[in-house]
Amino acid sequence: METDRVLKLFDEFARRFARGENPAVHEYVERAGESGAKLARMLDRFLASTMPPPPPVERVEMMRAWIAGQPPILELRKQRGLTRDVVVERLLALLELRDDRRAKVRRYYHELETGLLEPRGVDRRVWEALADVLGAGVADLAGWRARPIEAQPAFRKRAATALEAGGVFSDAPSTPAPEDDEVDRLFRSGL
Amino acid sequence: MNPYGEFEQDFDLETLFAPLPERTRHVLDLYYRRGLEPDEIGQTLGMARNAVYQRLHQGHAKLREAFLDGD
Repeated sequence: METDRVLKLFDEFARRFARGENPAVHEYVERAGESGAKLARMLDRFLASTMPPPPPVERVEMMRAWIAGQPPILELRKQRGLTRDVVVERLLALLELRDDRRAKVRRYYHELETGLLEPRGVDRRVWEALADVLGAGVADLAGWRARPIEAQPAFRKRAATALEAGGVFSDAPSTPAPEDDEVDRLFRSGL
Repeated sequence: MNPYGEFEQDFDLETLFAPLPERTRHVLDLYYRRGLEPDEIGQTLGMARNAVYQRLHQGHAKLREAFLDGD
């Protein structure tokens, strides 16, 4: 019955929200079919009258770093007491990369951590591996963007410099050159 | 006339569940606002699983009424 289906969707949404997940309203409205408008009203009232649960600690840590103008991934790594080498070692293992790729992974990770690498260009597998290593949510890590006004992320500076020099560097996800290897594709091919 | 009047009134869980007994409202609060499973609610409130489900059913009935009233 249509009503039961919509009420079940409402139940599912409300309880996921209460557990700290971030269910997408539009997906539920679509799933409700012809009753989508009514489910949307139910969800709207629910969200308007319900306090979200406290955010996970790591999200708060990352946000504090972001506000302070610090790269959130760096802050998170420090909070976890991990050295960069340990993170790189775990990335090599989780991404099933050969040992001779260590230096390259280390360089890319350093660039990502310090804002030199455009986060949008990093493959989802890298974010998933990092989420595993740093104990954070993939969306929290991959969703990070530089602050809009004060921050001048290095990858933008680098882009500007390259453009001024007549280069073709772009901060948008790039297509790897044919000679690029697996590591290049993981860090520069896009989500 | 406030065109959003109905919009603001319907499907407000607090208003919908207000006429229900306090114990039932506690169950519904834990279910919808804390996301607890029925078993966890039973443990938290010291209630049998069936009793939890009965009270959840009351909440569902209220939601169903509101849903059908809006047609």
